[in-house]
Amino acid sequence: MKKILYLAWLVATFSSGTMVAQKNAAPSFHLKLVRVLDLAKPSGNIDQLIPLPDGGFLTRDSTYNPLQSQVVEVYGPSGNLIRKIGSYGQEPGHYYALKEIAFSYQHNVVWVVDMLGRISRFNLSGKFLDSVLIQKPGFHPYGIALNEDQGRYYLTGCVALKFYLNDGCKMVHEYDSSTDKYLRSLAENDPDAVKREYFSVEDYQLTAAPSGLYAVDAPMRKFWKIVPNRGIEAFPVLGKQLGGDIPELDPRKPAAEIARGQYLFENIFADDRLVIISAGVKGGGKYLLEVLSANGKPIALDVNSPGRLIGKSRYRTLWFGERQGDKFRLAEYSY
Amino acid sequence: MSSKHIYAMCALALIGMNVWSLTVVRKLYHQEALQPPGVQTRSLSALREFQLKDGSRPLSDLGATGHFTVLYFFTPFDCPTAIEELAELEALRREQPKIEVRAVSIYASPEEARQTEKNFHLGFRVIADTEGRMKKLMKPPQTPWKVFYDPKTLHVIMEDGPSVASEEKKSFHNRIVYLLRAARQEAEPHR
Repeated sequence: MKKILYLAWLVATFSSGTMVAQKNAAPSFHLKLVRVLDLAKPSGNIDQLIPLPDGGFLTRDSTYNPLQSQVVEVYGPSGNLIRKIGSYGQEPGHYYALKEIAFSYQHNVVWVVDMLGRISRFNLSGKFLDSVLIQKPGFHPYGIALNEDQGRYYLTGCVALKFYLNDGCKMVHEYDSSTDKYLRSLAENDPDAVKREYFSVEDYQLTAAPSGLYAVDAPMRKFWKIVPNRGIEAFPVLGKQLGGDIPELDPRKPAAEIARGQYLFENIFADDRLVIISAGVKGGGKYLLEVLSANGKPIALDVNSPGRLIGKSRYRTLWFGERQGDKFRLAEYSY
Repeated sequence: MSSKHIYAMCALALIGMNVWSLTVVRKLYHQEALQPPGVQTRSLSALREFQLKDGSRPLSDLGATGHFTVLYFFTPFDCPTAIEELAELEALRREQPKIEVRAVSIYASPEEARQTEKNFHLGFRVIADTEGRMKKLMKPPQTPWKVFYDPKTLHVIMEDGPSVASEEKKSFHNRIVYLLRAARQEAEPHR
C-alpha cells in the first residue's frame, strides 16, 4: 500500500512539475504559412485587415493620393468584395483622413477613426450609426483599441502637456464605450522624442490584449505596456537591423524626406504572451518583425517579414499583404 | 496739502482717465466699424433666409433681440486648440448678458452639434450646418471664423480668424467688450 501511495505521489509531483514547466516554457516565435488568398481589389492598398467572425474581412485603405481613394471595405471569405463602408467626405458618415479602424465583435460594429477628429460607427451592412467628435480634450486621433470586456476604448493622439504639441504629449486616452465620455489620459510620449524633434513623424499605435495595452511611439525604439490602474512601463526594442536610434530630425525638411530609408514601427499586435511589432522602411518595401514578451524580453528580433503585417486574428495567426497585379494578395501565417 | 486737495486731484484724474478711455474706445469702434482691417464690411442678412435641408431657418431671428452678437463658424476638423475658443465665448456671454453668441458647426450632424454644446458646457446654441451650405453662402476666409455684428443693420463690425493662444482668445474677448461699450456710448452719448 505504501509503495502504491509513494508511486502515486511521484506521479502527481512529476506531472504537476511538467505542467508548471509547460506554463513557464519560454515563448517562441516561428511563422508557418497557413493559406494564401487574393482579394478582388484592383487598385489601392490595404493598410489594415480585421478578420470577421463569418470568415470574411474588414479592410482599410488609407491611400492619400488621391484622398478620394481611401476606403473601408468588407470582403467575403473567398476574397470577393461585398461592400464599402462609408466614403470620403467631411460630412457625418464619411471620412476625410482615414486613420484606423476597429471592430466590435460583441456588437458587430465597425469603428472608423478619422484623423481630423471624428470616430464614426457603422454596422456591417454599411449603415452609418453615429459619430463622436474628439473635443475635450481635442486632438487628432491616430490609433484605436477596444476593450469590450471592460467597456472601454482607447485612442492615441497628442494632447499637449504644456501648450505646444512638440513640447510633449499625453498619447493614450481612455473613454467609456457606452457614453463616449473621456475618462483620462494614460501615458506620455517619450522625452527623447521631444528632444530629438520627432514630432512631425511621430505615430502612436496601440493594441489591447488581456494583459494590458501595448503602444508604440514611432520612431522611438520602444514599446509601452500600460495596465490601467496599475502602471506604465517602457521597454527598449533592440533589433540590430533596425539600425540604431534615429538622429535628431530637421523639421524644416519636407515631410516626405524626414526619416526616409529608416525603419519605423508601423504596427503593434499583442496576445497574452507575445508583443509583435512590425517595422517598415519609410519609402521602401522592406519589413521586419520584432517579437518580445509582454514584459519586454526579446523573443525573436529582426525576423524577416513575409510582407507587410496588416492584421492579426484572435487565434494566433498574422495576416500579411501585398499587391499582385490587379489583386491584393493576403498570406495568413500561424505563430 | 490737505486731504480735500488730494480727493479733488484723484477725482480729476479719474474723470480724465474715463474721458481718455472712452475716446480711445470710440476711435476703435469707428475704425473697426468703418474700416475693418483688410476686409469690406459684409452683411449677414442673407443668413436670416438661410434654410437647412429639413426646412428650418435657424438664423431667421438674427438681430431680433437687439443684442450685439458674435457668430462663430467652425468645423469639427479645425485645430483643437482653436475650437477651445468656444469656452472663451461662453465666458464672454456670461460676463456680458447684452451680448449674444451663436455658433455654426460646419459639416457636423445635429447630434454632433449637441455633443459640442455638452463638451464645452455652452449656454448658447450650436447650429449644425451638416452639408456645409452655410459655409458656401458665407465663404469664411478660414475657420474658425468669428463675426461681431450690429443687430440693427446686420453689418459686420469686426471679424477675426482662429485664435489659438489664450492671449489671442482673451484679446478678441476684450475687443468685443470695448466695442460694445463704444456702441452704447454712441447710442447714448450723454451717459
